[in-house]
Amino acid sequence: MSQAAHVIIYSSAGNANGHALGAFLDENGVHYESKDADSSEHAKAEMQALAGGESEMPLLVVNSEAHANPTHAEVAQLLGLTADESADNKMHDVVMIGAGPSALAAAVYTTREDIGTVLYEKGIIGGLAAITDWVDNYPGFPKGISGLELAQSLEQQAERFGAEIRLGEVETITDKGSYKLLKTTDGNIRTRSVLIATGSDYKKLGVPGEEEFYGRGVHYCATCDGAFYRDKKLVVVGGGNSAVQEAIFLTRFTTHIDLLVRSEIRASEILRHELDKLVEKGQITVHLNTATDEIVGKDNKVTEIRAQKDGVPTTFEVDGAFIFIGLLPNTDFLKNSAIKLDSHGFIKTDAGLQTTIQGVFASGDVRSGATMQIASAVGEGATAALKLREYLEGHRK
Amino acid sequence: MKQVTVYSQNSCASCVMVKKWLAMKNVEYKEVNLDEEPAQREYVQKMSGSSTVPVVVIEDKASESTAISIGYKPAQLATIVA
Repeated sequence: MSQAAHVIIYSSAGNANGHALGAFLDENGVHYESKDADSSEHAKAEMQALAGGESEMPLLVVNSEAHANPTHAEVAQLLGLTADESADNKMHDVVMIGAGPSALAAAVYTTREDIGTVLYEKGIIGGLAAITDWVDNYPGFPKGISGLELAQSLEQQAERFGAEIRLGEVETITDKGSYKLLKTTDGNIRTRSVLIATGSDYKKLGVPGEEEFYGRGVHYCATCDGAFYRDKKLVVVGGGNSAVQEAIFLTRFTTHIDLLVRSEIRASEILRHELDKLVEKGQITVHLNTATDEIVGKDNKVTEIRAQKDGVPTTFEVDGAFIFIGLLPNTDFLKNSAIKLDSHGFIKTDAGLQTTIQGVFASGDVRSGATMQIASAVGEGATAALKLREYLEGHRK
Repeated sequence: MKQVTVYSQNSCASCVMVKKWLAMKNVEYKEVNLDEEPAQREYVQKMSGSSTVPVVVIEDKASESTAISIGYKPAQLATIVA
């Protein structure tokens, strides 16, 4: 169907077929004008002129061509609507891809405005926040809060106002102009607008042994797996906030941690202070200018980490390694879409958080220029929700 | 008939998701919390060959087979729980 098709329905308030036709066009995301030929002489005259005389109602006019009381099948053919059957037979207002803090915050706002909101989450509801041991810098919690508790609270708040969280994956987004077609693990669904808030995932070292020993001595989640290393020795790789925070967390289990930092520690002042205390106690040893080369094991378990410290080969005999070296945006599924990404794979948006597809917005860690904090992800989610509302209001008939 | 056991621990977001997924699919399961039953931890490690949770064990009495899923992997769960 041409995206420029001009569609008018001439009908009357009591005409059931007219209402059904309008609903059918709404369901398929078709913009149209609605004119009451009973209450407006002008509309009646227009209708008769287009129909070439008296006409049965509803009269559907597509680019000045009149069709009296067409069937839905005829309308679908006229407007080229046949291709996109949706699995749930609905035209959603907004589908959010991801159910981390950004999307959950957005969903609180959209659902409170009665904007039908569905979220798709292929992994953990709450995203990386849910697996963060402790959050001390999210405003409103003077004693801090566990990441999982914060995530579950956000989830409950979104669901309280009617957000529907589906456990599944969105595989592609196709722009159909007035609506977007999403291919999901539930089948195709149609939506007037989209929020992409897929966040980011752990960067891998890409060294030999990393994949082989994943879950068997190589880990990316301290809250998940730290307890398996009670009275054991670990390596933690990384020098930013996550690495230092999680290393501090892991000391409650381990006998000793070697923190391998590629150049220098970049963590916040407060975390560095806590780290220094543990270094003084002998629970953590920090190794600067140390690059991890290989993860080695035996009998399905990690036994040592081979590294270069100041260029000198150094071996750490440990029972496991936890890796926190940064995050990559979850945008692989957008590679063949019309949504522009920056050179690092983050989604480019304008000042209104809209991507290069009208009606598709992005917020949180996945967005180019995001500051990778829970607080800013939530703020962007709220902003995106207001922008979504504006977009939907501006694009309703 | 399949017997599903979920080995979990507290503050484990993946464990929460596995239980949510099983509930969504109306699959009954038994939960063993390794923080409450630490003696089971070594058993789970040996049985799964992994030092992570959740570990989902599906025992099929009819075929006398056992399938294991480690972590939260909906696609894999869908195959072995079916």
